[in-house]
Amino acid sequence: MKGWSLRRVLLGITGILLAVLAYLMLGSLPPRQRIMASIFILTVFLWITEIIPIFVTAVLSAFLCALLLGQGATLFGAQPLPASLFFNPFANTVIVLMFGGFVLARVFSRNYLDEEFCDFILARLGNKPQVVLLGIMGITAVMSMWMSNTATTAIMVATVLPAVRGLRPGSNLAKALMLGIPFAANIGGIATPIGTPPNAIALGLLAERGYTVSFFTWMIAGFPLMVVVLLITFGLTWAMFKTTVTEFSLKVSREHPTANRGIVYTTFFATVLLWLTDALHHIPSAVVALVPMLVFSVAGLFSKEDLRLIAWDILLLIGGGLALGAGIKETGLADTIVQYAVPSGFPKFGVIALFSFFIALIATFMSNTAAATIVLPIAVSLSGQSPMMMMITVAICTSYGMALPISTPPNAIAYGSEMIQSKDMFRLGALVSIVAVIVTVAWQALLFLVFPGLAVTS
Amino acid sequence: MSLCGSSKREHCMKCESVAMLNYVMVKPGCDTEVFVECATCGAFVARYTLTTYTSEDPYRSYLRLMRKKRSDSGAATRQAGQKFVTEVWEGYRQAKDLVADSEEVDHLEEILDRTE
Repeated sequence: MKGWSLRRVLLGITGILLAVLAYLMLGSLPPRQRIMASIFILTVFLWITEIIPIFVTAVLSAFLCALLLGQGATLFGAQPLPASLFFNPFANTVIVLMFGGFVLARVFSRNYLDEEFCDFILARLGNKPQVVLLGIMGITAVMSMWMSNTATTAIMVATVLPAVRGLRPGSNLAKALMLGIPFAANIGGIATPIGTPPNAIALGLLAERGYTVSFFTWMIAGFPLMVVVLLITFGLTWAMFKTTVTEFSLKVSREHPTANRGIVYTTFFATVLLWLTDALHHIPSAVVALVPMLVFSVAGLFSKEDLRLIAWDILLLIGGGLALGAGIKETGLADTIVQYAVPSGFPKFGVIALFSFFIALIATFMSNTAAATIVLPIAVSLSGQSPMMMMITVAICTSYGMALPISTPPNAIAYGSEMIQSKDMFRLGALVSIVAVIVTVAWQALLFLVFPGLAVTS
Repeated sequence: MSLCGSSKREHCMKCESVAMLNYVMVKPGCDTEVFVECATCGAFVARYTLTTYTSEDPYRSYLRLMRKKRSDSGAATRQAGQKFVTEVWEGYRQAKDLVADSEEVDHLEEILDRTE
C-alpha cells in the first residue's frame, strides 16, 4: 500500500494490541467502560503517533464507538447505546459556529483583505525594533482571533521573512521576530470561541451538559487574558533575545488585488456585533454564524469551490472529539477516571491548575485539538455543578503547548523558515507556557470570584 | 532516482525561439493566468492557468499556499513544508535532466494530452 511503511504498520498493530490489552486488564470495570477505555487508548495512541491523519482517527473513534457500543455491545454482554449518540455531535452547534468562522476567513483571504489589513498596520510601525516586534505580535494575535492560526502565521512569516533574512544570521532580533509570530498566533486563538478548535470542543461539551457559554462570555474570559499573556510573551521574548539593532523596518509595498471591501467588512462587523450582543437579541451564535455564508453566497463571493475548500477535516476532528466525549460520559468512564485520578478533597483551584498544566504539557507533544478531546471530557466530569471555569481555563491552556516545532502548526511554519533553532523555541516556549498557565488560572479564578454569575447557564 | 514523464522547453511556433516573456495576470477571486509571448518575434505562444505558483524561494511559496489553509497538526505541517520544498528542487532538476536527455519533437499540448 502506498505510503504504508513498516514503521506505520508496526505502530498500528501496537495500537490495536494496546487497546485489546486495556480491555483484558480492566476486567473490574463494567463492559461498556472496558470497551470505551480500549477505544480511548487506541485513539490517544493514534493521535500521538499520527500514523493516520488526526481527523481520520477522530472519525475512526466515532465509528468504533457506534459499532462496539451500539449493537456490537451485546457481544460483550452490555446494553447497546444508540448510534445517534456518536453521530449527533458532528452536527453540534459549535460545528456550525466554526463553519461560520471558516467562511468569514475564506472570503477575507480570497479577497486579500487579510494581507491588506496586515500591511496597513505594518506600514505604520516605524523603525524601533521593540515597537515592530510588538506590532507584529499584536497584528498576528488579532488576526488569529478570527482566522486560522496557521494561515495567520503563514501570512506574517511570509511578510517578515525577507527583512529578517537581511539581518545577521542567528541574530537575536531575527529569533525574536520568528518566535514572536507563532507564539502570538497560538495566544490570539484563545480570545474567541472560533479562535481555535479546542475552544469549540469545550463549548460543545458544555452544551451537551446544558451549559451555554455565549460568545460575549467567552470573550470576557478570553480577550483581556489574551492581551495580558501577549504582553508578557512580548516582554519575555524581548528580554531573552536582547538585540543591539537600533533600527529595523519592514518594506511593505505589496500590491493587493483587493475587492469587495465594503460587503466583506460590513458582513464581518455585523456578524461579530450579533455574536457579541446575543444577550439582547437571543439569536444563538451558531445561527448568526450562517449569516456570512448566506450573504457572501448571494453576493457571489462564496462559491461551491470555496465550500469545497473549507477545512472539513477540522470540523470532522471536532465532531469526532465530541463523539468521543459523549462516549466517555455515557459509559461512565469519565467518572471512573476521575475517581482514580484526583484524590477526594483536593482543592478545586488545585484541580484546575493541575489539569491546566497537564493539558499544556500534552499539547506540546500532540495536536491541541486532540489534547483537548482527551482531557476536556474528563475535566467536565470532574467539575461537578460549575464546569464553566474548569472548561474555559483548561481549553485556553491547550493553546499554551508551544515549546517544540511540532507543538502547533504556527510553530512548525516559523521553524521551517530556518531562522530559529529548536533550542530557542524550547527555551522561550517552555517559559511562556508555564507563565501563561499560571496567569490564566489566576485570571480565571479572579474573574469567576468577582463575577460568579458571569457564566450564563441554561 | 529514475526519470519519468516528459519535459520540454517552451518554444515559439513561428520563429522557434526559446526566449519567452511571461505576462502574469492576477484577478481577485479568479485563477491566475500567465500569457507567454515570444521575446524574439513577439508572437503569442501560450496561456497557463495556475493552480499553484512557486518562486525561487519555495518556502515562501509554501507559506503563500498555507495562507488559505488550516491545519491541526504541527508534525504534519512541518513534514508538508519540507516535502514541498524538496519536491520543487527535485522536480526542477528532473525537468532539466529530461530535456537534456530527450529530443524536443512534440508540441507541448501533445505532451499534456498524453498525461490526461
